[in-house]
Amino acid sequence: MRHWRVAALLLAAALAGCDGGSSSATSAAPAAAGKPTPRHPDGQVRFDSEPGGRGHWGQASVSSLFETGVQVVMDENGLLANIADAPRVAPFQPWALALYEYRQKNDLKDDPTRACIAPAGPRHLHTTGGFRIIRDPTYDRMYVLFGGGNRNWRVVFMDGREPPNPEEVAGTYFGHQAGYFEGDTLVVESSGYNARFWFSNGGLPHTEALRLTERFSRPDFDTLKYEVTIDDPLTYTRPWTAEWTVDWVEGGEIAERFCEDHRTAVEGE
Amino acid sequence: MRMLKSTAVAVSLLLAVAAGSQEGFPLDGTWRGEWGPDGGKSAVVIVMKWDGQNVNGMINPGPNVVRFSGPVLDPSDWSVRIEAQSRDGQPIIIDAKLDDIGSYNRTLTGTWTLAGVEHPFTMARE
Repeated sequence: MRHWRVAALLLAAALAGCDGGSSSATSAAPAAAGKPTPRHPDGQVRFDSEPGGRGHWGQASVSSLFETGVQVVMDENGLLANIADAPRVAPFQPWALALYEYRQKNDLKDDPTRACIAPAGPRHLHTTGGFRIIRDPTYDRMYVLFGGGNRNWRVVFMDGREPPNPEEVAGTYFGHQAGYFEGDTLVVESSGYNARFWFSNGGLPHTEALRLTERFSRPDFDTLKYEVTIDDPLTYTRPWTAEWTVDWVEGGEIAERFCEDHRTAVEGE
Repeated sequence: MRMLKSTAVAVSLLLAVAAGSQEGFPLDGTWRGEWGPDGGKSAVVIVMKWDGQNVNGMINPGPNVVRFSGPVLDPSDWSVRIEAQSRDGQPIIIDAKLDDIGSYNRTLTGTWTLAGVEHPFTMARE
């Protein structure tokens, strides 16, 4: 029952995207209707709670990653209701589509998170437990802390440093992340990933050539708007974009959730 | 005894991670195996790397390396065909099937044809 409720939400989200609106099923109300976007004393958008406050970002409006404007039905694990929809999820190269379909047909049983591999890339915003985006002016960084997937964190360097030459470094799960502001939007460009994780719960493939451009904005107090452009010319035929919104959970803290306490699929392998 | 138990736990964890891990392009990486008739098998190492259009590979990297390049993988049935030329100019054709794709240590099984003579061939990714 829950699966199909999520699926219905996803379909609604996709339909909303076709109308030129947000792809989110829980699109934010106009900014004027809610509390205004909080800001730091220097005027920069605050993506975390205000001083003295508590809260975190909660569940995303869509449960998986698919190209903006595409109409597909998935459950909360990113499993397609109809495998024939696979080619429309993203602009796959033939091998990538075949691998995506293989993973889907196997009910995602090879998902690396079942062996407690980090849910890196955009996927970490889909883990349960919530997340926070914290500015650190002392070191000129942003931290993304999240509760699921072994309570991982991302460090986004805001000091203008250049990414390392990918030929000279071993890829990592979270790569090299450099951020800057375009107006009120936090833009994070990342590269230097390894290929040992799935960047979506549905099993979208990638290679070490993966580059992500993420855009975070907070149009009102309760809404985080997220957009990610996936550029991996070894896997996809062109760069493509996905987007969703996330609601603010007022008053709570990130939940502690360690993979080791919840893993099920690795047992018996 | 305690150390033995710790080692066993560590090995189990490593195996569990390896079993669940996957890389991007299914052929990328280093493969090790053997080809030839029973009783006369030759060890072989193949390194492959996808560039977005072709697989660029090396058979037995080192002073006697044999290089190849081509589409190699047919994802419609996960078949693999490698065409190369040995150091003494003999044609090498490897026809194999990619299996156990979900495993990090996936396998290639098929035939290795050298100068028109077909032999069994098998390898696994390291």
